[in-house]
Amino acid sequence: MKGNLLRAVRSHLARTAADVMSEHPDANLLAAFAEKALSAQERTAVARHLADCPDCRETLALAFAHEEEPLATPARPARRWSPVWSWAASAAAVCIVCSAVWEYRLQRGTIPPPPPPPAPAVAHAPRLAPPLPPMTTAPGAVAAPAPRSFKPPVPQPASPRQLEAPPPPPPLAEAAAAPTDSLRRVQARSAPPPPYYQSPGAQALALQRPAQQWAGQARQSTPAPMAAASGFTMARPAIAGTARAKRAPLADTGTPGPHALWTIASEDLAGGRPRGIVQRSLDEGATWQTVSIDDKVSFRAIASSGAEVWAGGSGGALFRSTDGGSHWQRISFPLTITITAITIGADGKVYITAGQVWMTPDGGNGWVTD
Amino acid sequence: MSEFSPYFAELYRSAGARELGLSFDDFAAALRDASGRYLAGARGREVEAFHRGLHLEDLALARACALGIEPAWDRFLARYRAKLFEMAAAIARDESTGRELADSLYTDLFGTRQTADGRRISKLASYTGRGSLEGWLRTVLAQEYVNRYRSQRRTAEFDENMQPAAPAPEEPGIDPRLDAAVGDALAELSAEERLLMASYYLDGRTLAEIGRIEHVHESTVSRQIVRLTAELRKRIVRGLRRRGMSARGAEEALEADVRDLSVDVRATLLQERSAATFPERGQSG
Repeated sequence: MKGNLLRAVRSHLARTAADVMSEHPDANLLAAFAEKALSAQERTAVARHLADCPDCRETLALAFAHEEEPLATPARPARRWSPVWSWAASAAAVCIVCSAVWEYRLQRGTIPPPPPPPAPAVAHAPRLAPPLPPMTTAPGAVAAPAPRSFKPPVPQPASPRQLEAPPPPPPLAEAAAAPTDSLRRVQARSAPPPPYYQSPGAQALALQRPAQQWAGQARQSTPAPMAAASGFTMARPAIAGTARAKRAPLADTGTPGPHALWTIASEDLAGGRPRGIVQRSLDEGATWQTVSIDDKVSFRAIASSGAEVWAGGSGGALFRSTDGGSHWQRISFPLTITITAITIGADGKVYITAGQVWMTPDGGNGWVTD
Repeated sequence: MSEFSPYFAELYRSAGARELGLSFDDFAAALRDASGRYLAGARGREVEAFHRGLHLEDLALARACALGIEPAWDRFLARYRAKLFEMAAAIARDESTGRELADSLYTDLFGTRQTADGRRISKLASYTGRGSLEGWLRTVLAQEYVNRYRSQRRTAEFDENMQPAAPAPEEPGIDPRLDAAVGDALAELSAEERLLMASYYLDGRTLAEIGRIEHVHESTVSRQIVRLTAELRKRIVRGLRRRGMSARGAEEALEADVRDLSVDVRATLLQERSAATFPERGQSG
């Protein structure tokens, strides 16, 4: 009898589901129903539909039954350190500062270098770099929040995406004054770029991969909507300017390298002023060569995707190579302020950060900003 | 302006529409659209009460955004940008999916298609102010999620389950007396009661989830469900006795059934859901 009762209920449910009217209440009515803003007559009509329509019940539950967690990572409660650890941390901090100052002065020439002299930085770039400074190819790579955790355990994306605009990167001079070569270096992979941006953690992981993976093929990526690609999410896709790319090649920089590694390094000009230069490695980071694009530009950002490479820097200078860096063409960029970040989306769109984020879907012919 | 009701100007001021850059005519058009949609044929006081009951500030903001007015977009983004991602992530229960969901909706809100005269078609134009704009955004996000992601998942499941299913064993027929009694008992419940029972017993919602939907405490939901379950049981017993079953026989028929209803009917609903393709909604929001 128990089975009979259940089958009877099942039968009635199937009948009522089949009787559901084809027209579902629209989002206005469903929202007003949840907010108790409908008249009694309307509420009854919507409730009648909901009682018989599992799909609308599902919509309503998805919209209103969950509790949202704040996006911002909540501040951790203050931890009380034992006095021993506090003193140890203070001493370690002093040591780090002293060593940094020592190396800085050493690089500036105020202290004679100890024998034997270190190998040239360009020729022996470190394979495994420490976490990079925020002067990076991906504007969202700075201060990425920790991934959110939801009640049902779901796999988190490898690189948590940032919802707010990142803080502006430090001036180039600041990066140039950093104590070690690895801290002056900004890495860029030749593999297809991340869908939105790479967080510092994700970038560090990428740098620690074996050589075969460095030159690996395209990773699975998701489409990159315009706004999210650079951290400036929900930006309005308003057409703000149009520019035409100049197609004249500027420089031939050597062998094409679809799997080359790209970086921005710093060199000192006369008078101690630093300048960002583009460097490329064709042997997975063992050696680096300076790529001459435009000596008048101090480069700040570079990004690559396959054979396509974009580099930008002071004065809104923007260059593009479609053959792995062999030939470069200057792209007209709407602004004349320093370009601080470049990201190539999985869909081929290129996002340029220069105070605000600009996007070109067609290789620099047209520009869109938030 | 002569064709508009005198209180329109008052509502225009209270909605802050002028500060958003929305003209009086456009605001009045939004009001008339809303009442024309839900109060076709109504006049006078009824329409005025309806208009005064709308979320006027939200309506003005949505309409101004739909018309592409920049200050309105600034306000919309300041107010709802982060919220939209929060809502989408909570709905999708996955941050990356939520981001895609929010981006997709934002594209629709901004409007990528254009009319013949070059005006963007924004989804915000379909907001009528019946509920809050935030609630509407939540609902539209949920609809979008259900329509897009669930149908994709079902398509994948369908592809995986292309193997011909074994024929189901033939079940013995249902006692017509029980069938009729259950039908009568369910039909006697009000729409809201049936919604509550369906949410709890069929959809498997928790008391807390139902409470959030209904804006009541979960203990209230619990009391309502206990009451309704007992009432349903009584009605089915009465129906069975009316149909010639003894009191003992009716009780035996129902013994443990109401307790097990939650499990077995939920499984039933899941079977029904997996069999049916989710219908695409025709409404625009």
